[in-house]
Amino acid sequence: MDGPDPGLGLGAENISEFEKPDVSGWAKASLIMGILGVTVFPFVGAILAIVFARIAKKQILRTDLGGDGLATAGQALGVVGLLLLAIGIFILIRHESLKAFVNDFFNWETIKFWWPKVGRAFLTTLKLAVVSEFFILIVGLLVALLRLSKVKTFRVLATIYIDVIRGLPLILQIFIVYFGLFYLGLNFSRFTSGVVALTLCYSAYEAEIYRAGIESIHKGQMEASRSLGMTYMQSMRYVVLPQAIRRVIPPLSNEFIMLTKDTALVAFIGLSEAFLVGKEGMGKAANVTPLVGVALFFLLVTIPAMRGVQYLENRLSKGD
Amino acid sequence: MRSNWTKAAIGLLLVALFVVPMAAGCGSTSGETLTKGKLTMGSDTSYPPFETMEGSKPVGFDVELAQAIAKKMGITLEVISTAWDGIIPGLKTNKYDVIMSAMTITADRKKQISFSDPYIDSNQSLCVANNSAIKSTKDLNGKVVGVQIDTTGQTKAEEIQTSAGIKEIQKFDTILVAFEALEQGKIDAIINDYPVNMYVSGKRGKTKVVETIKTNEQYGIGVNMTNTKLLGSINKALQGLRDDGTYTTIYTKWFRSAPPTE
Repeated sequence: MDGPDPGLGLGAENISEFEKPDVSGWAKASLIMGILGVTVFPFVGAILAIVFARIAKKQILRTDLGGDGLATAGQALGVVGLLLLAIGIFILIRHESLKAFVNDFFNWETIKFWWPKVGRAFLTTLKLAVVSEFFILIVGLLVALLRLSKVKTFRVLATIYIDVIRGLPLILQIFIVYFGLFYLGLNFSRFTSGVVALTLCYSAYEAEIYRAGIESIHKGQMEASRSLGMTYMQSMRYVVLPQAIRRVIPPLSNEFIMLTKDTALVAFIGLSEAFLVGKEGMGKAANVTPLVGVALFFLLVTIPAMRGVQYLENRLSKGD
Repeated sequence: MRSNWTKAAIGLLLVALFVVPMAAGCGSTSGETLTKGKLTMGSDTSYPPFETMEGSKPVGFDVELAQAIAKKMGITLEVISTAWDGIIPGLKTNKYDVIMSAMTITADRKKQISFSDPYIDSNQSLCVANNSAIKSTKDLNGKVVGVQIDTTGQTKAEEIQTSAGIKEIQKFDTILVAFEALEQGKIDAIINDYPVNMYVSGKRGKTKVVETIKTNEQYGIGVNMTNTKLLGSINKALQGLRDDGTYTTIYTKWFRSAPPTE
């Protein structure tokens, strides 16, 4: 039958035990900005009201200051101010030049005709990215191991490869693979050239990432497994690499997202992936809407992927 | 719940912010040209003999004719190299005064921009590698045809695609890249403007023009639809060049024969 512990200050009756708190200055500012935001300075006032309110709330949590209610009111007014502004702009949409914007970026007729085409071409984009990634993960690791090899020749060759590739623009590499290798008797198709060029390029970058990951594993691991009688390769395979791979998964995942975007460059040798189809649509429909579609398809994949990488990072770091 | 509304409102607002400057930027120019005393010309300068870059200098039939027009108007000319598939949006957003880039006058394009009086006639043509067995569009069954993206060459190829049995129409950013692909056997043929096919085949020597595909097209100078004053001046200058023989001189220089009479 004990009452609430007075030390916790949970019951309302305990408030009187505390002194009347000062009101947070930020909260007051937020309310003032909110009022101004609805009346005189729509955008700036509203934004400041919301920002101040957030600062105020954080401050109130940290300290004993009061004014939570004021901050809430300021924030609410800020939101209302923004909404009013947005509504005002919506009304402005009846104005000709804004109509022209919508007509150019979100033309409904163009959307109906071109976005499905862009979507289908985006499948090629994805195919290019996934197939390339498969090879990149393998080749990248091989190059990293060469780079770390005890054999000097391997190390030198790997370093030259990495430096040259990382020193050239990817679009140039794509052209060289498609048009240049011809003179060595290699006549790849556009898709294959894309895979080859992307693999060559990204393997160089990912080799460095693998290398950093491997080198970040404490030397003691290698020494311990060697002293247990494992060979260098065995130590790598069973002890070092498993740990290193876990560390490099987040950066490698980021590279994959970049790879997905870089597939657009293969449009310049004529491969019908999303970007090329978008450009074609832009010319035929005479507005930018097809390219907006391309952008949306990319975001549909890259943004969830970025959140996924973040989730991976969190999960993996828990194990360390 | 409150903070989600806040985020939504901010998001909506940011969208609106992007929209307002866009609206403001759509104003038309007050003078005749964007910069007083200078005519700026957008052009895909990889299209010989009409326009191409020699080092850092643009040369070609279009370039010379444009220079003559500017001179007739009493102003100077500046050529702005532009990617072909952004050339019309560039004109509409006032990146340059005119488009002069071997651009065919078509009904679709007329919906976007105005055209001057036609300044030269042209046709399409079929171009193949020197050792190719293809003699005409009838031999294109199962073949891959290269075109420059968004050109009348592409339109023609698409027109005959089903009837000629063309396997695929590959689109390239510039016609010169398409020629590289043709010479390497990556594509079987190119459908593109006759004068350009003839010129490039002659210069690089690895391809040949096997058929003229009559389309009776005409090139025009593109002008922003709102700039009727400039359009008038250009037409006037063009007519003046025809009248005083300058047009004939330039034409003969680039095409080794006199221009056809009207």
